[in-house]
Amino acid sequence: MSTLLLQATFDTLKMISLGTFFAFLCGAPIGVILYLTQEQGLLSKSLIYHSLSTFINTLRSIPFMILIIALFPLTRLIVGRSYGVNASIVALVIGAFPFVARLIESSFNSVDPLLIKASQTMGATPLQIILKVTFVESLPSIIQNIALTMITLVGYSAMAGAVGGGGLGDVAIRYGLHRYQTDVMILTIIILIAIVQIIQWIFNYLSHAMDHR
Amino acid sequence: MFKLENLSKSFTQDKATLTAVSNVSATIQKGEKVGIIGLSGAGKSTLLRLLSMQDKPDQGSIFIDDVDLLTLKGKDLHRMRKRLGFVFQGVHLLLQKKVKDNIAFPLTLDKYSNEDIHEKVNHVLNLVGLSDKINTYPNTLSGGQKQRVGIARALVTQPEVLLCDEPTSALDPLTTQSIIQCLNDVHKHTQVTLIVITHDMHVVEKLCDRVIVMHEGTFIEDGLVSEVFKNPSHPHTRLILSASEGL
Repeated sequence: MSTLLLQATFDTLKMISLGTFFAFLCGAPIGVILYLTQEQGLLSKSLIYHSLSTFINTLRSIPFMILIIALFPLTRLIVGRSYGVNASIVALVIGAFPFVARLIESSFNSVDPLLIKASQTMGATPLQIILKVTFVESLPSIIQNIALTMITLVGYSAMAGAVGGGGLGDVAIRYGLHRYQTDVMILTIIILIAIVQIIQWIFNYLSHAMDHR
Repeated sequence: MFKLENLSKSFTQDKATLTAVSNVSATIQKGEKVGIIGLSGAGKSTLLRLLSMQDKPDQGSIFIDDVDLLTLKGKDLHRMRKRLGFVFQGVHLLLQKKVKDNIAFPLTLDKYSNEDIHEKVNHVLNLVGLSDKINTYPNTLSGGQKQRVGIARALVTQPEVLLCDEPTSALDPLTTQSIIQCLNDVHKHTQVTLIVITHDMHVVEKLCDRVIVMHEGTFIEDGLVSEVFKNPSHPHTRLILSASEGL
């Protein structure tokens, strides 16, 4: 049983970390575009902002459980099959990147608009403002948001487990629920709590260490 | 030489037109210390937005030497823009960056070598008397020290004109005095043209040689501080002066 749990823990960690990584890879640029094109933004473009925003809201309003199943054809296309850890990662990324886009948008929007104005007055281009002002100033908040995404993915990955996605959720359902092995159920929950706590600790520490306000 | 020629700007809101800046002109010689004073609503902020090129005037020109800034685009505009330095009321520093990186910010927007940046940053930090704070973060500084960092940042590109927007109105009287002192020192060492936009006549009195009084979007008075404050010709100037005396 311990090898089973060990493997499942490893799978869950893999889903969370790779899922978060790719969700940021896809979501962060969209967040930046939302930030730039919003009303009063540096490159205000109402049509782009509203189309992207609607697209993201649409994805975010689909319950994750439904999304995973709806994505089966796509995951099969990308990783060759619709079950297992890699298939789950695809679903996690699609489920999480719209969330990440909003997080980046809000982190960036928390930077003092007068500082942005001042940078413009000093002659900074929108790209320079993004790289040298907005990103730098919102880094502690972005770090916090990475933790938020990872922890959300802990929950999502357990849901993916329910439809054969692998990881701790999978074990909890197959052994804990279907085979009435309460001890396995309790152990998976304890491991999940530990994962969430450790993620929060690490990223709180990083965020505070980096924050010079 | 810095010259404003017939600058005007109005805003239309709900079919009502408000003229914020109306046909103002002034020629400011290199090295002058000019205060533009006016009460709230006089048009100071709009004027500043025009001078900092955040807003385009409806008509008029802004000249540096004989170049009209408003006809420039792209690289040429960027190059001329660097001849203006800005000191902001709220300072607006990068809180996640050290003092030296904040001061280097305007330089990092262009290609400068690291040694060059290092040298320029050290030079201006010396001018504002904050050499010992080079490696600290802004949140450890007092309000006055932050504004000195702001002044150093404005000076680092070696501008010909330093435009100061209410540089002391967020500061207590003692700190205000030290910032005025700082700007006077900076002027003595660099001969930079100082333009200070403020509502505080004490700042103008202590810092400037020449004062322009702004009222309802126009320049109603323009002359030496010593003469205008002693012998104001416009009733509104007298009003501002007597109001300040009463404080």
